[in-house]
Amino acid sequence: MASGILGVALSGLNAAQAGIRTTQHNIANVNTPGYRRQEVGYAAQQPDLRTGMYYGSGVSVEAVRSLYSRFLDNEVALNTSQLARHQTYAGYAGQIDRLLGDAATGLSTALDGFFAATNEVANDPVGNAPRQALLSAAATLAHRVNTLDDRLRAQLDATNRELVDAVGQINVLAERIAASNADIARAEALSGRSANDLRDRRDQLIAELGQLVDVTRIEQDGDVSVFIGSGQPLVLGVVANALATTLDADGLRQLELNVGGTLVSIGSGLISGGRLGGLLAVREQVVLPAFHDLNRIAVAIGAEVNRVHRAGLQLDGATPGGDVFTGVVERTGATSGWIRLEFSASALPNRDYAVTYNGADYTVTRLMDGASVNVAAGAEVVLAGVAQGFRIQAGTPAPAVGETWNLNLQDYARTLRALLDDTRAIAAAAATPPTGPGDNRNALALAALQQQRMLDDGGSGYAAAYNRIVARTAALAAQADAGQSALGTLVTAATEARQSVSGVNLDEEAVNLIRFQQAYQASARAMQIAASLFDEVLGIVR
Amino acid sequence: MIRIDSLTYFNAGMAGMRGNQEAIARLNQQIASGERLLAPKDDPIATGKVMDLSNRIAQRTQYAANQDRAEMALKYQNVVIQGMSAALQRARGLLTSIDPDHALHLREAHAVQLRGVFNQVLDLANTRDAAGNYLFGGFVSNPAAPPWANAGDGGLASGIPLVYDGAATQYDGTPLTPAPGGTREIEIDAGRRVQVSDHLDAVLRASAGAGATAPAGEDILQKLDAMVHNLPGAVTQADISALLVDIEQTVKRLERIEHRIAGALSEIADARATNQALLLQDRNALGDLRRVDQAAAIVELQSRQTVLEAAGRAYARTANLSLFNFL
Repeated sequence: MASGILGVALSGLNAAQAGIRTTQHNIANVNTPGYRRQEVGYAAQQPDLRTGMYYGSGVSVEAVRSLYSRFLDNEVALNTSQLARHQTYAGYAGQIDRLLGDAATGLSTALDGFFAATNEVANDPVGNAPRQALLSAAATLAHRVNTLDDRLRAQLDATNRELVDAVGQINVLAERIAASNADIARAEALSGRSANDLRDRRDQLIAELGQLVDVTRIEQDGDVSVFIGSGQPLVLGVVANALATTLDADGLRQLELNVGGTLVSIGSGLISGGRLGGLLAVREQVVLPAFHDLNRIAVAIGAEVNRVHRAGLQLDGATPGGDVFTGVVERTGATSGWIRLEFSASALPNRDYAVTYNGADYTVTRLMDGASVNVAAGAEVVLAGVAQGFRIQAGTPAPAVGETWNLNLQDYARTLRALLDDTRAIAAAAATPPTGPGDNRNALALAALQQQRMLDDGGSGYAAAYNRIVARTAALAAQADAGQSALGTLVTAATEARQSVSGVNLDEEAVNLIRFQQAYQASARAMQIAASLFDEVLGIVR
Repeated sequence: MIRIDSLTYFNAGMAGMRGNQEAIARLNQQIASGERLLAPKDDPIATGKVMDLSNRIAQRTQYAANQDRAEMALKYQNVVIQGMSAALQRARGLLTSIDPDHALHLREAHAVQLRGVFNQVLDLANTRDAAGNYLFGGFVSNPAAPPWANAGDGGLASGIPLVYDGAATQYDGTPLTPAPGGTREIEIDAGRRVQVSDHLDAVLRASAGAGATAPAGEDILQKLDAMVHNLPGAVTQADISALLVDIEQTVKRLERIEHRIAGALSEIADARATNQALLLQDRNALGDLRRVDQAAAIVELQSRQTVLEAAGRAYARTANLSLFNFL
């Protein structure tokens, strides 16, 4: 019985120590991300049966548990992943929004300036100053298009780089999760107990992964497997599959997952969350459309301004006008006729084409892959079921059988230059008599392009088409901002809810500390009393 | 009762403070710039309107400039045309007071006066604008080649066709094809153009043949010149009468130009009134969309500052509360 007394007191001391240690552990980890507070599970020990009575035999430490709610954890993970997506999206969209909308970088002011200059030439066709101003305005317009194109390309490059970067981080995390799976399996097999801190760390790794890409986690036999996209396995137990990127024909990085040596392509539509999801979405919805639309507007400017200008006569009253901007339609071989482009509402792919006239139809060949089609004048060019965004019409002089042209549409916004460098080369005069240097009819025709709706099947002019890009980008950027702030609130709420279960409260720990300290003191006291009991007995013998 | 962990407790005030700081920074920018929209995304719908309005304003401003330009050209031309009319009227006065039977010295005196009138009309026909271009040069505006050539010392030899100086060349030295005719237009509103120049070929010549070089002796200047030369010599009453008829017709043609100019000017005035009203309207609409409501912004700034200060104080007061301080 006496050893029983000491034993009970000792179990109390041990239990209090376990409590103090766990409290200290909680306090120490108050700032550790992903840490879940732990508590000691106590249970009364198997009682002794003596003289027909059950005597309590002290306390035992059953388990050290971490406190969490899987539901709340999932809420946080889901919202955090979406928040990361919207933050990334909003970051890019905001930059492009400013770039396109700013008067100093946008196209609007340069377009207005160019057409104001054509008006001034029409007002004074022989004056050198307005002609010089028109040359400058053309150069400014070309330069502005180049700059916008360059900035949009920079954004595409940035998404490429960030994709590679994110994929690298994802792979590191996947490796660590797989390793964690192995560690936990080993630790738990050894003790038969839940390895709380290891599990916390693994969950934290998965949470970090969730900020990069939306994942599905499936827990089985203590292992956590992680899937991305439409169920492609990133981590299967202790095996991590490597995510990689590959460059497509447009120089954009696309995702591929190496599953046991087989590369599985993961379509950008399948990734919807995390930084990766944000990057792919903003590239698809904001950057690429702006990039393609800018090119389309640039092509329409180059094609129409050149066409009108070529129809006029230079200051000498005799030489026909040349190209104002880099040629969009370029005659090849001995071709003397011209064709004219019309633009439909479909997107204009960033590709070059060759055109041949056979007397009835035009054969349009895409240079990249040689795909070709015969179209009648004024019919939309469709290749492999995809509308190419333009139609062909006969120009002046009319095309002859066998004549060929190149359509330099690819990267036109980058290659666009103002070609005229002589004020006398501006063709302000019309070619139909009476004409002369003082004729301003062609300058009026150039100025009238400002009002003409040559884009979107005659639906919009240059300025309107450009304004639409700005408005669309602004709407998407605003939407991303709104999503970001809404998800920020959701993440805060979910995190607070989760922390209310799993988070460490220092005041609470202070109370626990006192509680365990007092329990310890009481057990020590009990031990002292048990010891004094022995002394009493020994005293009798002595 | 919800359990609050220490991290949440410490961070709770952060979001509010950060939000207010962000709002204050924004308001500061808005107040300083006077712009409500700091980026298109601040109000995508307004942005679309702002861009359309800005384009329209740029166009209307250009139309206003075009209108000024057209009006200037027309008014200048009007003065010249009126001067020409007046000179021709004086010639008529002189001619009606002449009689072929007058003594030689009288006829010579008239000839001298008529020479003055001739020079005046010729000068007016060769008037240059501020930029040095001939007002009635048609589409050929070469300062080296007056549209109405005056050979020699002011004495115009009869029989010389008064068309573009054939010596006019292109900048690369090749001779210029004479291109009489051609009148310039200026766009004063979308799709609305007014004629701002006239070609005197059709006015000073009896036959209004455009494009072709008229036969010698058909334009009024040559006829005046012939009269000046012949007056001291042999001039019949019939010659004088014929010239009077020609002058009469020329004055009528000049009047028609004056009327056309008056019409064009009133059309410009009309276009300008509309343009200015619309420009004002667009500018106001743009201002309403873009300009920040300063009073509202300042009031919001104040309230944000108060809240931020309160949040800061609340944080400072509560952050140091910990049970450990009392153990």
